[in-house]
Amino acid sequence: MRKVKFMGRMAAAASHDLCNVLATIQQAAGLLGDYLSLARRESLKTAGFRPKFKYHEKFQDILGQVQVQVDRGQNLCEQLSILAHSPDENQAGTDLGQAVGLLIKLSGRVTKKHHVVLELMESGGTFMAAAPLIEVLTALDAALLGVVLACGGGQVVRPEPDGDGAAGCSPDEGRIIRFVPGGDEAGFVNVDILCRALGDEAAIALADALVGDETGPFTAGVVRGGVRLAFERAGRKP
Amino acid sequence: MAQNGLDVLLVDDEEEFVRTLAQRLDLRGITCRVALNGESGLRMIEERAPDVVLLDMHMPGLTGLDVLERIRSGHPGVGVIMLTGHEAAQDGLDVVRLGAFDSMTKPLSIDKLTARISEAAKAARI
Repeated sequence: MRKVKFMGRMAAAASHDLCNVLATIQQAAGLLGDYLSLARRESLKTAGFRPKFKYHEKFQDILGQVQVQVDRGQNLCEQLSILAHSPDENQAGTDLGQAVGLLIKLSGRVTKKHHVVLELMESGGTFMAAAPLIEVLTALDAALLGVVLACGGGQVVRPEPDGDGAAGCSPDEGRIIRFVPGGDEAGFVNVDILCRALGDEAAIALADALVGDETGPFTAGVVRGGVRLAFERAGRKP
Repeated sequence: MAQNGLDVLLVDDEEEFVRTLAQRLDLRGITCRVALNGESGLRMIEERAPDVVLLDMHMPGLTGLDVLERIRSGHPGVGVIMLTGHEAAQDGLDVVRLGAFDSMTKPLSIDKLTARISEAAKAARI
């Protein structure tokens, strides 16, 4: 845990610095845009005596692109900051929906590499697990990687009419991995990780592998079309 | 939109950021002074109290919270907008409860910032 906290502190510091870098880029690009607008206004005021800057629109486009990337970076910074603080001890519980949302936002590289789409399915209510965020994220990430690999690992998934869980699914459906948070009355909350291309055998093997090597604050089982990670419930808000 | 007459002090140790921001605010009619740490920020407030202080939370030496506390006790008529990181929200740090007018996170939208500066100045005058 000491190493995890160290990593968290380092990530938090890096995230903070990254925000400062983005802020400087944003303001520098903004200042360029301000002067561009100023030049345009002055050109209009002189009725064309001072000619319009030839590349005005081009510059505006490029500055717009910079802003889009700054926004993207800001979003990543925010997620990275939440991740960095996940080993903090003062957490009463973890909202499974928020944890999945964070994992999805931080898994851009994985989804790109393996050509998969991640979706969080809202099932109503808030499902709080009695486990720290770092533990929940670790479990979700392991399950995600397992599902991604079992679903073809970047290969186009072909429907097989007589196959197991993949039967009848289109190649596009086979690339969608859905996370469904939920809970039961027995004091557990869970996340189902579903993929139409994941066969029954692969799901059983994955569930076994998830609980095989390490003991964590969760159990893994098989549900139709995927695997289920179950955590002890910390409380449920209606 | 020009915000003529407003006097703002920017206190942040990120020099490139704060000087660029000062130029942008200046183009919008807001007079800006820049301090690169809390100590010189407080000195500049003593010399001439601004309408609003834009104050970074994390600085070497006096932190943003230290400076906020001293402004609140010595210059209650100065509006303060804190620049906090994302971790502040997660830590449940409420700078408004500590006396700031508002908090914003970097990167900043210049339009939102100028609007908040005007509002902070108006609130401080009341």
